[in-house]
Amino acid sequence: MKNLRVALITLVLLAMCLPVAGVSAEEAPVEKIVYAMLADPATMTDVNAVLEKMNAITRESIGVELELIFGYPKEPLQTTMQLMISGGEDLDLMMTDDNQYVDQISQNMLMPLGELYEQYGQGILEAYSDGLSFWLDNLYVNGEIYAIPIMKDPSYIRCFAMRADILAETGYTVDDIQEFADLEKVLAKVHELYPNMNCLVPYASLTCAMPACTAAYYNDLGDSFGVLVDETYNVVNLWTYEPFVEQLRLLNRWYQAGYILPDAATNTTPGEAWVREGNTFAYGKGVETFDYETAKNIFTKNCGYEMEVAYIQDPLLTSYDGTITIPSTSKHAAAAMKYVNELYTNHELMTLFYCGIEGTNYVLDETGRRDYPEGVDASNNTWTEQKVMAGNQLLTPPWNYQSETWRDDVMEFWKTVNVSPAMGFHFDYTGLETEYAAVTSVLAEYKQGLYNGVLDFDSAYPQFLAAMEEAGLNKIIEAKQAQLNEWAAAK
Amino acid sequence: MFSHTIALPKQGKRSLSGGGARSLRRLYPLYLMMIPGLAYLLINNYFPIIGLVLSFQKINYADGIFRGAWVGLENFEYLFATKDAWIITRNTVGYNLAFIVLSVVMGVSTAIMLNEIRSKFFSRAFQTMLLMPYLISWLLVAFLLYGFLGTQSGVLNRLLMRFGMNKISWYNTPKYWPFIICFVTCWRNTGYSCILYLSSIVGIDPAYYESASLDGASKWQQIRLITLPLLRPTISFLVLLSIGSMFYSDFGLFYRVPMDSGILYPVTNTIDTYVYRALLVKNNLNMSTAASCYQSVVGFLLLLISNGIVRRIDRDNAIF
Repeated sequence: MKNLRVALITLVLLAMCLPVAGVSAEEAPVEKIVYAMLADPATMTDVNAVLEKMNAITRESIGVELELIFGYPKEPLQTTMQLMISGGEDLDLMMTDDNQYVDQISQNMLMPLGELYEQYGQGILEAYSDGLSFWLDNLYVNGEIYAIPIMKDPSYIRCFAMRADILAETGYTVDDIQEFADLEKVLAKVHELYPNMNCLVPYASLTCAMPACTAAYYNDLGDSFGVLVDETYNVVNLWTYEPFVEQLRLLNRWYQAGYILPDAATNTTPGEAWVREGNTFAYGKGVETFDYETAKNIFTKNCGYEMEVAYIQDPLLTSYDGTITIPSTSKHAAAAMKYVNELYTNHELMTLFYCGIEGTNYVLDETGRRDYPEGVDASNNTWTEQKVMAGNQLLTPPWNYQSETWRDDVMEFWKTVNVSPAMGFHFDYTGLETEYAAVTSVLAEYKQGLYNGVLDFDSAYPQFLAAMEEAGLNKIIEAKQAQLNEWAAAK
Repeated sequence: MFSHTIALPKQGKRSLSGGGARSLRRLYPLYLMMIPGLAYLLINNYFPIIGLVLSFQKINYADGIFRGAWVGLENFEYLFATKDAWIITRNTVGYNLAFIVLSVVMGVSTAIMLNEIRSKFFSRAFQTMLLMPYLISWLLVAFLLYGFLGTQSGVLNRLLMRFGMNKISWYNTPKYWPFIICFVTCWRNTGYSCILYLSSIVGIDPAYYESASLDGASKWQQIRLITLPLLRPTISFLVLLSIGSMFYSDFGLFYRVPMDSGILYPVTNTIDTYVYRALLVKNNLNMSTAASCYQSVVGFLLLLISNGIVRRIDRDNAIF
């Protein structure tokens, strides 16, 4: 009797297992990948709705589902990613800053992608053919590629935004401002007309010296400790480069004349707020576009006054401004690569990812450009585009303040822009960490003061140079030059 | 003649001290209540000590977080090699010493004064008002201070102009900042630190004061000869604990309040802010752990040494 009971129980248990086995054999496994992205979760509240639509598409086409993790600002996100990787959690896609690329490779944090590109990344390879292959070529380190670039609108073309009405009163026009020094006469006139108004403010916690250096081929090589200023591979000390030193002298003169905000060294308010309150004439900023009209529209929209834009530096491509990477501990690397490939080729998927859901987050006008729907604007939109989103952002419809031929304009820009000869060079700091920490600290101490003209130039500048030398700047410059020469020879 | 010996009942000594099943059965509710706190202490404070090995390694994410290569003391170099290193150490230790002295002086005097207030309502009201600043985060304090010290529109500068003096650019002048920081710290921490002293003072038997005033002692003499000596255990306990964190600094204070003004770094840069700024971009796990290791190990050694010294002088006042 007892044996019979045991046998019956075993049979029942077996019977229960069978249907389960049958079901799992029919369903194709759908892989799930996790993507950690830099975005403020408060601006991305509709994430579930958008992901549902995206996953519906990708489940069918490549059998992959996406999960998003947001982090903001950059530092907490990096900490989250580090903890996930070292804790063995699932993380399949993340973003790497240019100046961490080499470090992360030497710490074995990134997975080599050469084979994955061959097998699953044909769409990406195609997007970068035809004159743009240098985007991929420059990501190779020791013969292996570890990152996927992001195809997007160029960011940080440095310029100055100024109040159009006041500019008109001074009698100068935007064409009169071709270089940094040209600003002086304009600021002087503005100060004369409006003695109580600041003429120039820094943007948030940045500095007035925007851009840092206006040399035609200025490449800060990642961190401005040893830079290139022309088409050669000659690494120089930025702070003994005479045109830049002259710029600093100018800034000090402007500060003492009262053109610059007195508390510039500790300013945290963005430039737009100053303009909106009517407290400043101009501020310097990087803006996302090289197109003058679009830039004017963006500034005017943000500041509430009609604005003019003065470009004082020709655009130069020096860095990637972030690339997409796959951690070495990822268990779904193939799926991740397939997904990014899909983002490069699938129009509908990329538009969903970048713009959100049509009708809720944006509407299309008759020219096919985007606008906010009724009742929605930048502050309450539930899905905001992020410049760091993986994929080909040029597949998406442009905004209505951008030109209709935006996509072609950007592609044209990428094909014809000047590229720094050192693009793709990443300096490896191994062995020089102490010096790096020291020079970073010295720069942090003097930057806001010198670059805003707050410190007295004649006394502070020699101190700054001496401190930099003591911190080991020359050692870094020598090492950079050696590595750069090696890299250039191997190209 | 016989001497009166009062026969005391035999104390049931075993009922409270020592281990043993009887005490466990009586006290197990107390042990149970301790468990969550102990568990938290173990997980949050003791387990992470293992992570200190990271300060002697170079991390390799593919191999795993604790299996990197050993590099000895290389990760500690950046804390000692440069001129900045001397400045940050001087600032950290200097400010901490100043804070210890100020906290004792201000805390004790505030507690004594609070104790003298007759009206219970006012005593409570003042204590609450004194405690409020402690509850404000440093970020808010920084902006409140900016309202006072702003160059263009700050209250202090407008006062100076009213009296015909020149505006001072506070955030660009290092020499005022040791005072500003000590002042802000006092403002914030006095309410909190006086609570402990106040509770000790309240526990002092009023009979002492009564007999002292009967003997003709003045207020100041009473404070000096009764209150302060009886507060000594509390004061030494708190001071010894503060010595243990001599190499730490309040990050919110030193990073936020000077509004991250580089010009003020020589007087406001401490070990914590230096490490934060230097490693922000590179995100070097090993170097930041090394800084932590340095702060905690050296602080702990200092604590042991000072405790040993206090023990020699006055056994009762030592912590252990």
